Amino acid sequence: MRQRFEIPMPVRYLVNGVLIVLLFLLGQFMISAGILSSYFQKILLQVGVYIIAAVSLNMATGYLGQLPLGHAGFMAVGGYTAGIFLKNFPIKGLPAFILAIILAGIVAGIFGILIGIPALRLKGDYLAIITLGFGEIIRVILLNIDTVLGFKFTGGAAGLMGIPKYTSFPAVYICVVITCLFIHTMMKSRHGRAILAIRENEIAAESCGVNTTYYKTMAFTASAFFAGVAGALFASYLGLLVPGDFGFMKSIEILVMVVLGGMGSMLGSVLAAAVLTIVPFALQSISQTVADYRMVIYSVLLIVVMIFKPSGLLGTYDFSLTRIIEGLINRAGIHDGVARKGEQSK
Amino acid sequence: MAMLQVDSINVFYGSIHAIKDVSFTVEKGEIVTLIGANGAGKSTILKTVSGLLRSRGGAIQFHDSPISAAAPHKIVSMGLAHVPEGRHVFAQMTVEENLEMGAYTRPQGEIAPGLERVYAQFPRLKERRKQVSGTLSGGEQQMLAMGRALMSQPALLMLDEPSMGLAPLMVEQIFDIVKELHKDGVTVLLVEQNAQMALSVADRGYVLETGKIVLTGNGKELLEDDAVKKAYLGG
Repeated sequence: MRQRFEIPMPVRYLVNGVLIVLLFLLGQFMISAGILSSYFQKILLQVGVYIIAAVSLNMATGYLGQLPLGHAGFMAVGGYTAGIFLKNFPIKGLPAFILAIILAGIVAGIFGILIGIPALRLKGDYLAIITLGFGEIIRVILLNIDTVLGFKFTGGAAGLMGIPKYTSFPAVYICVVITCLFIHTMMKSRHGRAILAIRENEIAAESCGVNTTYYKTMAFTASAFFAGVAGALFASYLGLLVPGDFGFMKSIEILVMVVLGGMGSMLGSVLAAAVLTIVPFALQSISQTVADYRMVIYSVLLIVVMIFKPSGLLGTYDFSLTRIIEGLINRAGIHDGVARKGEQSK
Repeated sequence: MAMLQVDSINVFYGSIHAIKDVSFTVEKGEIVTLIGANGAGKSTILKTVSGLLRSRGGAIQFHDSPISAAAPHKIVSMGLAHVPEGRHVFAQMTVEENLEMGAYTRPQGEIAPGLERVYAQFPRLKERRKQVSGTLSGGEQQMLAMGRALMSQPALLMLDEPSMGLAPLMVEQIFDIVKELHKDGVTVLLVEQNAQMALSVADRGYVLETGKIVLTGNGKELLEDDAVKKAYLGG
């Protein structure tokens, strides 16, 4: 029987690792050589932040199969955590930034657990409503606790100002890679199988011995954690946080990215996040009025996609460089030669 | 002591008293069936045993350990597998992935021999190993659900309406498989509306009516019982 050629595991890691480094070097080079103006660099950073937000929401929506509408709420929790921490922490610089990102993730994750345990008892529209409510509650609370016991907290409606700006291309890039890597490996593991099983059929998953409550909460919490990371990067990128930034529309925007890209496809989330972040800027350069109507464009786009490809642009397809290389090698028949040689040597 | 001992359980859906003081036992190596009309509470009893529903009062013991308060996933790993009603398969996973999910509570090393055993029992599943399970026929999906439950190496297999919505020929096949499993030493608790079929394979049976056990006996006795004949076997 003709055997398919498969790249061995360590080589796979190597190939992907090299690709990740090359992409990073390309970005760094384009920035230092001045090919990307500071305007485009800013867009690039935003793209990174939204990739993290979309990929993390994809975990709850695409993989777990729930429909939370409060993702911006978790971003807000992470953003404000990082902002307040960075403003008040005595040490400045990179260590503080790393700590702030981790802390933002953890605090958002804790909120994820707190919201997840009651919310995940519900399904579908009910879960959507309860998470939507949560997102709004966070926003309103942030708006109203500008000073707590004399300590300047969130700055209220005026916003949290003067957050040190540490968010840079390397920081965002590394966070994007870590987020994707973590979620990818998790979904390939036994835990990931359990999460997918819950999406496919919760009753069957339960009868297979999957602790559904635990895994739903875990996936939801991981999703919230990385939303918090995105929020932290966002905070230190803008240097200013306003509660209004994290309203209901923001949650919808992230959800549109996930749905458009294809629920359950990481590559889909990444591409859709990139495109939908760049589009408003591109529209702005055409005319401000067009840019103002981008939500209209989004909705039309969404309707079109839902009619012609309900599973999203990429469905559940996930990109694998090594699989493509394997396919090419198999098609070219190079492998046959290798195999024949192998037989002869025996 | 019986393998499964259910002692006067009471289950409520909101304010509706669905199961009233039901007690029964399943001995090792038996096929026991619960029969009854729609809404008699057959599935509710299975769900309560497997921990998906809770009983108010009463006790459920499996292998001499109380399970009435245990979480469903714990109960599965104790060796009690539930094949829920309506062929719940992981529609977008392949047949083999479905079966692997069945071994979720077992150590990694048991997957390969488990697959072999299930494929020997269900040759049809082996033919369709790589097929996405949502595209299987109803009977094949039922086989898959049963095979998946067997992957957890259960001491007691609970089948909820395995014949539901299947063609008569397929129903016969499914019951043949139940008999074979029984020969291999699996204890079976079978819930059925198809009383004729169920009683013909069962060692013992319980007849349920609106949440209460009204009659019990061995399979043959019940098949010939006038009341059962009248109510479930069509005269």
